[in-house]
Amino acid sequence: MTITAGAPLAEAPAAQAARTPWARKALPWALTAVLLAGAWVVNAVALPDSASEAPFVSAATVGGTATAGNLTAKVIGVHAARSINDPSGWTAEGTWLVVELDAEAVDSQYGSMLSVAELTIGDRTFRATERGQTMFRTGALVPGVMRHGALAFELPEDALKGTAALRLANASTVADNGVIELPIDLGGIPIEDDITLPETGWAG
Amino acid sequence: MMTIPTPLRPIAHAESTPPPRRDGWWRTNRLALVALLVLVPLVGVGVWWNEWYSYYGYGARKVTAVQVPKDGTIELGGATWGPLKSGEAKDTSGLDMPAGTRLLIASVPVKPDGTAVTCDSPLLVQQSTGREWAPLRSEVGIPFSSDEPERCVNDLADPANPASVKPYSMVVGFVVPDDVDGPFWLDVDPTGDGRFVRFSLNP
Amino acid sequence: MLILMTAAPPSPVQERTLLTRVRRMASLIPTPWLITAGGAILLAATAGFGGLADAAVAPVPTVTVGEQYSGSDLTLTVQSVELRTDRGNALVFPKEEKGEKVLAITLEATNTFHAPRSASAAEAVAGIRVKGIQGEPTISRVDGGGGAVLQPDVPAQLVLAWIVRSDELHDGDAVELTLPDSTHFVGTNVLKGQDYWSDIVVGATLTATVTEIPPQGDGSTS
Repeated sequence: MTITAGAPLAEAPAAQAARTPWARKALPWALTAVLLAGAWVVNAVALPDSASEAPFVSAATVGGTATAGNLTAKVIGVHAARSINDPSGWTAEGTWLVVELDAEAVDSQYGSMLSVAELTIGDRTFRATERGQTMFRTGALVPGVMRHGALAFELPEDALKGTAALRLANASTVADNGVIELPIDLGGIPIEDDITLPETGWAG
Repeated sequence: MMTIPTPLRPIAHAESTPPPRRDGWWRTNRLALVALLVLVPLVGVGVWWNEWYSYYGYGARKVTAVQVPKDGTIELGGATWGPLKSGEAKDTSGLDMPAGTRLLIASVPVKPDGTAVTCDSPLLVQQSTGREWAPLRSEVGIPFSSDEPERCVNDLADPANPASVKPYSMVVGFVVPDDVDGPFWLDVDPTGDGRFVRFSLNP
Repeated sequence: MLILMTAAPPSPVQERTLLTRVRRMASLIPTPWLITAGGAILLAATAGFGGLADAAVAPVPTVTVGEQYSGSDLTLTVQSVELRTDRGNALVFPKEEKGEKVLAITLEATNTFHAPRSASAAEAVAGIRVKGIQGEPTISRVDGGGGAVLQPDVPAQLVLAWIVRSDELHDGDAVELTLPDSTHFVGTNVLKGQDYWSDIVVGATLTATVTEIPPQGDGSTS
């Protein structure tokens, strides 16, 4: 017995189309439009790849105390000078930015140090100098007890203009860790002839 | 005479045997569902263990505390530790102490079994919060002294024999804020595995 | 007639049909034409790029003392080449009784990258070599403050020191230095997001005459 694929079957789809309500025909198009719009929104709000490692930023002001991660710090003053020296007698000329601060750890003294100290000016990033006696990567940060000291940044001659961002952290890298961020108005800092770095010791 | 022959078999009525029921979704997929139930937790545990082991599994970090009985000793990692002597330094007039803090001093006798034992400095841990302090010495003006090591040392009684390490005591001082109350633990982590020695410290 | 498409392998009749159809389609493609055309393009491209002969190697530039050189995202200006017995601020320790001396090269280095870099990195100042003397230099600051991190756009006065035997170099000898060049990359895999310099090559050579600083009286530093 053969099934004759004849006229009745051929006629059915066309007839069906003529009888389907307009709304049902438009439904797939409407769904496509909604999904496309949704995809565009998701793409627009999606964070960049590096967002999963972005640091937790805690904003600070000069004189105020801020906490981020295992670091609590209070920046006491920001100065600029054409030459710096330290209690051991070392001296260096150049364009220097000196940040005086108190810092302590929060949870643990084990491995605690002021290991991230960066100054970002425009598209350049500077790191605190390891020369001379400063608080940079030297000495322990104690939970609950503030240490007082300074950081020095060696800058190019023409760099003391515009705004800069100072970032401090008690962690080996900034990724996934807390970081204290302080905006600095470089143009508003008077440039002194010589600054003596304070000796690192207990605050207060 | 022709009669209607009796049927050889009774006529099977359509209603006497119900049509076979099709299996439900749960039944058809029972093998996959059981597999999921077993494999998902297994994968979760496997990934967790792998990450945990890569961080804690190599003995470099403190993992398992071995509590020392009060005024007692314990043997761990190739040495006998204790008994702990500790207290608050009463007279800190000659030292460079910050305001609002006290100096807690601890002395941990170490008797190696023979060969040298290495360990990091002891850590003072506040039991209620888990905050840790590490020893300070030059920061408060206490000079370095080879009689008061702050970490495990290995002075040989007989220089030719590496298994003749002399017993000694680690003497450490911690600068702790006044508002941080005990009780504390003093943790010493000998290198080797993740077990570490935990003394109770109540100044 | 309805042809049933099933999962079972096609029957022998259908298989012959399929193979025959494939063969027929394949025979329509002008394979010899394509091979000839491909060969012609390959030959034309090779000829266009200069044939199979070796490409000419660009000569390595030379610089002189006092001239600025740029390479590895640094600018270097060699200021002096000296042979001395007194180490000054350099962190090398010549043994006087063996007659060892210090070959000290003073230069100014400026990091032209936008982030701090170590002068001791293989592609940076530590990549400078002296022909005939083994090893990388010991880098110190002229003002003795230690620290070999070069901040962006901040010129640093550095001393590069090697220990040499007294019979190796004399006053007035010519020494040839090689200055490094490299390419900057941003890591994408293990070093993801990190800056590193690779493909270290000789960027320039410098020939200078050694000046011997005679040993001063006791107690004074050069």
